[in-house]
Amino acid sequence: MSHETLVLIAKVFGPIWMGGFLLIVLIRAYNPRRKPEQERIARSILPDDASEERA
Amino acid sequence: MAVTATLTSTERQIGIAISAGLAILGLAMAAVAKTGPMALHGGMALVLGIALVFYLGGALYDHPEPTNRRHAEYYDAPTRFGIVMTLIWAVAGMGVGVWLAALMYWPEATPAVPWTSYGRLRPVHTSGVIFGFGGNALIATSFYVLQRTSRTRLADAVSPWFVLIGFNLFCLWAATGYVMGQTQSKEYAEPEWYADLWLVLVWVTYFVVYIRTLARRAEPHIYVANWYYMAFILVVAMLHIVNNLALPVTWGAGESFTIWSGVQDAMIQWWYGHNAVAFFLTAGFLGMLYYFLPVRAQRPIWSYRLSILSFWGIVFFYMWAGSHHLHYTALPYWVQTLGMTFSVMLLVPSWASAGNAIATLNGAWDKVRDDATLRFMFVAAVFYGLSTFEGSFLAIRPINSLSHFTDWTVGHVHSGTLGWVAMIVFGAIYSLVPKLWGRDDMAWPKAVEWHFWLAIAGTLIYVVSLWNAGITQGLMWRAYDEGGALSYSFIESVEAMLPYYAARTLGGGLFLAGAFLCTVNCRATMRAAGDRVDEADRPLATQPAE
Repeated sequence: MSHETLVLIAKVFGPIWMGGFLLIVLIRAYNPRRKPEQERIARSILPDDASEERA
Repeated sequence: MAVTATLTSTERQIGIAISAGLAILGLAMAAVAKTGPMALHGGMALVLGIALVFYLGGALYDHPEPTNRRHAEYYDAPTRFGIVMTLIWAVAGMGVGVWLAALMYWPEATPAVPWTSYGRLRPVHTSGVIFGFGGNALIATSFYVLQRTSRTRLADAVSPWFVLIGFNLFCLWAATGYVMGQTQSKEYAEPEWYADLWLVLVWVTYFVVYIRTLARRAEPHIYVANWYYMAFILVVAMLHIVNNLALPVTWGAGESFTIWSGVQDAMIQWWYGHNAVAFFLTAGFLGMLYYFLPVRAQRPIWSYRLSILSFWGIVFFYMWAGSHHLHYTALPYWVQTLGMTFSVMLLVPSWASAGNAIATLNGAWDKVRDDATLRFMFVAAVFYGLSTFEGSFLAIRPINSLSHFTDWTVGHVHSGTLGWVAMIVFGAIYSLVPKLWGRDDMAWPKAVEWHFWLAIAGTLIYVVSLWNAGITQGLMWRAYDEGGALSYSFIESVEAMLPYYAARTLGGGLFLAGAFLCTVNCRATMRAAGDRVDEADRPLATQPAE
């Protein structure tokens, strides 16, 4: 494989791979079905009586 | 309670065996090296190992066996030790920094002794504050946060001590090696091969105890702060190993050659160097921010999903940004462009984290006004946003052509380290010290307020003076007259720096004064330790660790 081909593959594959992975993260993190669980996790570090101020 | 009382007799015996192993390692190093820094470092390991053998051996039968009830409590003794080491390294590392800043103004004050030269002391400052101060703070707080967010006790009681004591031995080897002239000439990775190998051992132990504790967690989820701490541990291991691959000249001396050469060496070094900023100086401290800021404000993080997105953004983008340190070099142009592009893209996850932290405080501004500890954290988030914006900006090629080699870079780094990293550390310390020493508050609450304003004034004076210095330097170096000759000689640009160097010394001095005040305040708090116990602050999982 020539150097130019390798560089081309790296340049093309890298952004697609990373962009794709980030897209998966975006879809998973912003899936509305996960919201209640995420809110529970965010509150889990606080004492039970705190943080009722913010919905 | 003495540290030895927190260990079972079996754990004390394991500790003695490890300490004896360290002493033998030190003896072997000293014997093989015979002379030079490596011999001294072997001697240090020998003395430390023997001292620990006596310390643990002397207490072997002193304390009753800890009962199984200890599994119903978090193990905070390592965190307490880590905080003390954080404070010691803060004063030492920042003290050397202020001394060096003063030498730039009064270079003639350099004593005529080799070990006091600027070139040897500079890495003592950088390693002292990054690894000594920052590293100890990260390890200490990570153990605390890991247990609280997992609602379980650390997986075992010996390995946290190995991590903390081993890490501090590495820091001490590094600092003493530099003053003796030992360096492998890689910025932020100066320690020689045997110290690097030792750090690998320490770091792998750190990773294992972290994973084992996470595996025992009593919460179904892994709170986001742990993701950041894990990224810090894992990526630093990867960076450290790859960048420090080297062939020793001989087994008996701290001299080696890196296996990388030419432009690959430069690229590997700055892949390491910039990711040291990303994963040592950012990811771990974001872990600290994502835990201590919501807890102190008593409000959940504004958007948990945004914290996940910014986590992966940082992990993906930072990896590629290092080549912006090598603009206009022999590095292929497209690699420089790649580094520049990813540096600009980094603004998105960086500002997402900074904005998330600041939005969390919405509705709690009265607390920010009244509580200096929370204010430290708020300012940290603001400076995180400012310094990451500046970083993306400086990575753009034409901007870099002005800023590179100037003090603007130094100002940028200090806006991150003083304004962001140190501020979040002090916020965490003021949250933890009263809690871990059984009190409601610090011994001198007003001194926290003084520290805050000293730190703010110091950071602003330092950063603004070096912005001026750097831009002035950059403009003077590229000024030409009508004939095409340089308008200024290099020494004229140095002379023009004097007022800024005086101001940066003052700024650094104020910041150091604040850190010293914090240390004295913490010492007073520790000496006046109370017996307050938070009954809610207990693990849910109480099964024995072993």
